[in-house]
Amino acid sequence: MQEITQHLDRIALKAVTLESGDIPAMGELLNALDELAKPVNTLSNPLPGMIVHGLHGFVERLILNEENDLEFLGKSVGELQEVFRAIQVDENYMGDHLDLLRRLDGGKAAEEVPEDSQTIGTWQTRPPKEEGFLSDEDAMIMRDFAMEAIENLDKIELDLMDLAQNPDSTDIINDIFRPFHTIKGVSGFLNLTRINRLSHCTENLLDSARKGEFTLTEDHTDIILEAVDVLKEMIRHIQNALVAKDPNLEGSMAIEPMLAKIEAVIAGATSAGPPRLGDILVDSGYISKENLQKGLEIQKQNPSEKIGKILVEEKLVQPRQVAAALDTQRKAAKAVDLQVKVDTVKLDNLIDLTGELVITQSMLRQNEVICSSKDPRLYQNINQLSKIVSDLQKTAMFMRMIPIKNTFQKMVRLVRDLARSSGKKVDLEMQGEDTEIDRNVVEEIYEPLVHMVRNAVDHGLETPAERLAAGKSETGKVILRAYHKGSSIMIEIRDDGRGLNKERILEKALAANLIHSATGLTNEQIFDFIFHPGFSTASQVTDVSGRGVGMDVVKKRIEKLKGHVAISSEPGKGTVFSIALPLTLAIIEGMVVRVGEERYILPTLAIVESVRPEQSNCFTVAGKGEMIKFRGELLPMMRLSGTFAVAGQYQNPWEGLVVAVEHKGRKLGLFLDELLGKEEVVIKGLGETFSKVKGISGGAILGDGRIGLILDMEGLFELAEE
Amino acid sequence: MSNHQIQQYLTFTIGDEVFALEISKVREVLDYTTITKVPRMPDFLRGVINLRGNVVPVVDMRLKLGMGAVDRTVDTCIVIVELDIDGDMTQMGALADSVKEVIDLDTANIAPPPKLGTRLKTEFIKGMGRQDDKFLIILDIDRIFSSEELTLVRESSEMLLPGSLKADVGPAAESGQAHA
Repeated sequence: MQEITQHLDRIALKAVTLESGDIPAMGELLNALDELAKPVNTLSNPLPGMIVHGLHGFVERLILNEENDLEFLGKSVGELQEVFRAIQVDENYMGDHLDLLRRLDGGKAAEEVPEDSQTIGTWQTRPPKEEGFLSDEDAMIMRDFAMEAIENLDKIELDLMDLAQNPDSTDIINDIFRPFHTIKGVSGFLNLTRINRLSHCTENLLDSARKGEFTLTEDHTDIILEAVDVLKEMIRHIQNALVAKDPNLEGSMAIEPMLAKIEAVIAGATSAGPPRLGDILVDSGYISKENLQKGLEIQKQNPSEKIGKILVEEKLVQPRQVAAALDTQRKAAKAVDLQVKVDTVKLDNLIDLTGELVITQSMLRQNEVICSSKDPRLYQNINQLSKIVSDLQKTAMFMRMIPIKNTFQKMVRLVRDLARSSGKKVDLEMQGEDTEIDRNVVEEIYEPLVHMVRNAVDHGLETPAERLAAGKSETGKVILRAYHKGSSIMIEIRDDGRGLNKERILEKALAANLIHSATGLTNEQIFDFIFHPGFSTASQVTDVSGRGVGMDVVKKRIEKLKGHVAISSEPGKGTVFSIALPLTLAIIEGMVVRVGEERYILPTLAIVESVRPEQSNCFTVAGKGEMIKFRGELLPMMRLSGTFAVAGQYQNPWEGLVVAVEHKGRKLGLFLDELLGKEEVVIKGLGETFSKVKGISGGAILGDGRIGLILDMEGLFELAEE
Repeated sequence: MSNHQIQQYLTFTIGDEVFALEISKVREVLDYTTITKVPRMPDFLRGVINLRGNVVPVVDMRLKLGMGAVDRTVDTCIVIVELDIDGDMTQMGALADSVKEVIDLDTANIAPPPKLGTRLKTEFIKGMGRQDDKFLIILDIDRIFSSEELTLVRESSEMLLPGSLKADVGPAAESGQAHA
């Protein structure tokens, strides 16, 4: 009976605070009703069981939006409490329970409920479908749940990493608590009992920590992480089962050991004090610790007074400062960003359209009639239009940008697990996590990054003993760094391990017939071999130099993103992998160049410098073709007009222009007629027909509506070598 | 049911010949506009144009059908066709000397392509239609723009063009989804 009252109080609280549309809370209410049903069904009086049953159905209909009378829900729970009170004191319940039941059943089925039914005790949360699989609608709900749950669990993982650094932060615990709560609520409603139980149990652990009963330590974090893994596994099983139409949604993973572990932790919990407003004031530098102490002394004598009020009255702080601190406290309490989820397709459409707008706008600007107009108002309006359009474009672009932080923080766990399994000590440092990067790029870059970080820890770093022997500190360092450089994003994975073994790579490259001799190869070219497919898998280069498995895949993935990856390494000092990625996949900053009548776009990233060379600096070297002396360096020269078979305006480099471009440490002089100006262009594919044109990576619509072709450095360098 | 069916065709000229395309494949007809040449491609692939922000490849029908190049005139136009190429709806441009009209043809009056006696490449001809005692050549536009046809040409052009070499990786390497 005691138990029932407790449950009932909780339910009553939930029912009165329920807001319409708050599905997770409703899910929770269903859970609570389930729990209540167990003891209630052991009672000899069937009436409470019937009311609970009715309530359950009512809440389900609330979720499905078939009902919306929340007030009646509260009232019914009140009635239920009345019924119990009556039973407890052995009285007869005086209310009209038939009417109540009828209304709980949506006014239709009350007659069918037998007054003294014995069958009520065995009802289910959601009657499982007798035959076959879920209905389409249910499957959809299930799919949404699974997707959201995985998102939530990912977020939990990140927050747990944060928590490891600030174990006292109630905000972070709250952030972790909330998604667990949601998963618990919804899984309960969907009758995923095992997921429900596990998330419930973990939630309890967090709840105790949240109430300040104890401080979460690394051990706790580990256990929660484990629970997250188990949950993820189960949810993935759901996703697979949905595809395979397997009615056993949750799979058969045993959750009991996990549950036992968590419960043991909760039982062994100790308590600690919570940090408060005073701390915020001290942290903000508004008040000294001593003065705060004074205020606290006063509060002790007068416990009903708020500390803020006391401090103001004592003139220790300004009211404004207390207000600010309170604001901080409040904000921290609900640091949930206001966000709207938008389908990426819609977002891409928006970005495409703004791209078109930019083009149309610049066509308008170049229109002859407009250019010859003398109307100052027209100019003003057009300028205004340009400004708005470019702002709009920026805004649209930024909508797709997300900080790389999340991706980086996933590495924290990876490094931690790897360090543990390999017995190495690793310190992971992250820099520039707030650097924003295109969402699509983030998704694509994740796996290559995992691969490289794994390599850095697994093979790049030495064991503690080796490190000590080499005179380094025992703990190895891996630095992840992101920053902007021009219109690219740079991501670096730097380790202070043993570095690449150049000789072994060369040996292997020779053995694999990739090169005929090692002479004249730059370090970069040598390291580049590890990106060669199957380069390392067959030999011990991996063991010696520590790099190579699947690096070809990494490279391919990065190049697909129109980026490139470079390696620098020093024996004994470590290795740096630098990935350069375009800020976005949709726009490229380029220099529009002219060759005869044709115009091409040269990515600014590749340009070193442009010159009109002296005649004395142009040579023809036997066997190497035309060369040009450029800042003391002899560069091969390529005539774009010749390579692309178009008629150029000039025949001699000293009449036109030579642009030095750089790609992977190699340089090339491109001879062309004229530079027309820098432009940010929206990249368009040339379609299947022209998808593999060497030296051209795509097209872009220029200001006059014509298409300019974007030059592809990789292809041009290959053409130059032929 | 016999195969008496009326279908609509768009007719256009190349030189003295009148050609026809099923109207259902035609999306629109454009005046000649600047075509951006894509380098290292066979001559009949004239390049790309900007069609309201989309990049559309243009094929010179004269060259494709082996009729020799001429200078463009005021009548030169680009017929935009929409085709299903490897499951994707793709827009392509066909450069023609001039566009004439839309006509109705009875499918029963369409004769199979002649085996001999034409200077055109017969593999692109779907059939011969008649209009007022004049012959129309009905083109197999899907065939002309099929990916095999375009790839075939690309491969042979790779061999023909000076300086181009083997090193192309090919689409298979590109599409292989990478998993690190």
